[in-house]
Amino acid sequence: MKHRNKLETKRNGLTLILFIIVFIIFAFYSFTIIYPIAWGLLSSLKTPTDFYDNSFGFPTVYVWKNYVTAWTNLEYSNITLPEMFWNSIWFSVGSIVINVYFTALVGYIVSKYRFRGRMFIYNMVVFSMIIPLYGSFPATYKTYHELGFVDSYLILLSATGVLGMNFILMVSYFKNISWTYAEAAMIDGGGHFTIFSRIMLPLVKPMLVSLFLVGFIGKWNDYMSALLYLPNKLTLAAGLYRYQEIAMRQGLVPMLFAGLFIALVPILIVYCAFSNTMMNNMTFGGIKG
Amino acid sequence: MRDDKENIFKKLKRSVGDFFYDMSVEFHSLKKEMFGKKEEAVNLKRIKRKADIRKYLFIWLGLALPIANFLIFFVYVNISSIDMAFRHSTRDGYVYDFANFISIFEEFRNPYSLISESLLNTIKYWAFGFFIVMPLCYLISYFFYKKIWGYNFFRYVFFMPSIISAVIMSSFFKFMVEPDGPLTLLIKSITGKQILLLSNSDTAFTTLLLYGLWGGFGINLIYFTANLQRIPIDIIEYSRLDGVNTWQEIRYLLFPLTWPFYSTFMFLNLCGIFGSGGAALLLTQGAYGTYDFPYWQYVKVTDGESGSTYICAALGWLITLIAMPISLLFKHLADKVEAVEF
Repeated sequence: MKHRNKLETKRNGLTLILFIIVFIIFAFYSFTIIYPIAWGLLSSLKTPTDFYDNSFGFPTVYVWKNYVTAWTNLEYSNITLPEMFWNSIWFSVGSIVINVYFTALVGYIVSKYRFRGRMFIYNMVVFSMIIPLYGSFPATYKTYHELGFVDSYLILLSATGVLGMNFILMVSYFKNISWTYAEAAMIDGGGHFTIFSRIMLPLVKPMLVSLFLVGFIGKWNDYMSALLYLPNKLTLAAGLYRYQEIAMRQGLVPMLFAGLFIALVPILIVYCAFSNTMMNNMTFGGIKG
Repeated sequence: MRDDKENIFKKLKRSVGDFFYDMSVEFHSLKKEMFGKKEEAVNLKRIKRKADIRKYLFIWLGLALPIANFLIFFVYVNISSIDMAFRHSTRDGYVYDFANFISIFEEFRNPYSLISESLLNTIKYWAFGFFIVMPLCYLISYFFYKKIWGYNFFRYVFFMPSIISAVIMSSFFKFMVEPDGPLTLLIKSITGKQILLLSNSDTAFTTLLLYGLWGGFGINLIYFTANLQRIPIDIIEYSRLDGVNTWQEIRYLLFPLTWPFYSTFMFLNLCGIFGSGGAALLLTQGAYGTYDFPYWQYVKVTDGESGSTYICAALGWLITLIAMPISLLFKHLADKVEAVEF
C-alpha cells in the first residue's frame, strides 16, 4: 500500500477542485518562465533575418556559430566577452570569498569571545538593517572615487564589510557550536587563529557553502555595481546590458542572446549542482537567523 | 681501543650533564621553598597576561578590516551625505544652507516633476509588493507545504528568476514585447490591436508592475515554505480531525503560528519602502512615466553635476526621516501581537 504523506491528506470535494485550479495556475506560471528562456535559446541559434522574419518558430537553420561569434566578436567599449567573463569571475568570486570569510570571522569572534564592544558591533549590524538610510548613495559613489576603487581590483576591499543578514546567521550558527572543541584544541597547544581556521570553520562549512553560493549568484548577476564602479572593467551582466543598444541598432540580436546564454552557463551549472544544498542550508540557516 | 675512548667520553658527558641538571633542580626547589606560592602566583599571572594578549590580538586583528570598512562605508559615508544634503553650489564655491530642501519642496508643487513621479511610482511598487506579491508568496508556499502535485518541479522553476540575471530575463522580455515580438503578436491576434506594452504611457507602468510580480517570488518562497515546515505535524492532524477546512487552516492555524517570521519579513520590507522599484533601468530607462526613486538616484548621481548629487542626498535624508518612524511604528505594532508558541 502506498504510504501517503501526512500532509497530503485526503483531498476531496472543494479542496480537490481548489488544488486542481492551483495546479493549473502553477503550470501556466511555470510555462511563462520557461518559454522566454527557451525562446531566447532558439533565437540565439537563428540568423538575424530569420530572427525578425520568424519570431515564434524554430530556426530555419541552426547557427551554432553564433556562440563562437559572440565569444570572439562581441564587445562593448573595447571590452571583449572573454574580458567581461574574467571580470565577472574575479569580481564575484573575490568579493564573496572575502565577504564570507570576514563574516564568519566576525560572527565567530562576537559569538564566542567576551570583550568590550562586542554587543555594540552586534547592535550596529542590526541597526543598519532596520533603519532605512536613503541619503547615502551619492556619498558612497563619491567615496569609491576618492578611494580609487573605481576600475580597480581594490574594489574587493569593500567586501570586508559584514553588515547584513549573513552576519546574524553566522552568529546564531556559531552559538550552537560547543566551545569544548576549542578547549580541546587549546590543551593541545592550538592558538586562536588555528582553532578558528582548522576547527570552527570546518564545522560551519554547510552554512559557508550556502552563503558562498547565494552570494556568488547575486554578485555574478549584479549589473549595477559594475555599471557604477567598473565602467572600464565591465562584468558580463553590465557589459551585455550596455551591448543591447548596439545589438538592436545593428540587428545582432541572435549574437546578443548567445552572449546572454554564455553568461548564464556558470550560474546554471552552480544551480544544478548545488540547488539542494542551497535550498536546504538556506532554509535551516535562515530560520535559525 | 677507539670504542673504549668513545664510551668513556660518553660516560663523562652524561655524568657532567647529570651533575648540572641535579644542581638546577636543587636550585629551583630551594627557590620555591624560599619564595613559596608568590612565585607560582606571579607565574600564573604572567601566563594569563600572555594568553590575554594573544586572545585580544586575535580579536582586534580579526575585527580590524571589518571595523575600518564600517567606519568608512557607513559612518564616513553617512556623515558625508549629511554634509552633501546641506551643501549648495554658488559662483564662489559652496555654502551650507537649506537651499536643496527648498528646491525639493518647490519641485513637489509641480505635478509633472520627476521627483513627484519617482516617489509616487516607488510607493506604488512597494504597495504592490507588500499587499499583493507577499501574500501571494505566502499562499504559494502553503501549497508547496501541502506538497501539491509537481511540487518539486515547481519549486525549482519558481526559484529560477532569482537565479537568472535580471539583465537576461529583461532582455528576453523586452524583445518579446517589441513590435514584432511574440507577446505583441499574441496580443494583436486576441485584441486585433498592436499594443506596445513598454512604449505606451498607458501600459508601461502596469507592465513593469506585472514584470515584478512575474519574477518576484524567488527566495521568499523558500523561506516561507521552510517556516511552515517547522510547524509540528500533530497540530495539522488534530485540526483535520476537528473538521478544519483549507481557509480555516491558513487563517486560524498556520498564519498565527508563523506570524513572528512573517512580521519580520514585513518589517524588513517596510524598511526598504523607498528602495522599491521596477526594472526601469533595464526596460524603459524611465520613459513613459516609469521613473522610480532608485532610478532617479542613479540618473542624478551619474550625470556628473555636483548640484544633482547634493539634491539627491537631501531628498534621501528627507525620505529617511519619513520612512524611519513608519518602520519603527510597524515594528512596535507587530510586537504587540502575541506570538503563539509551539
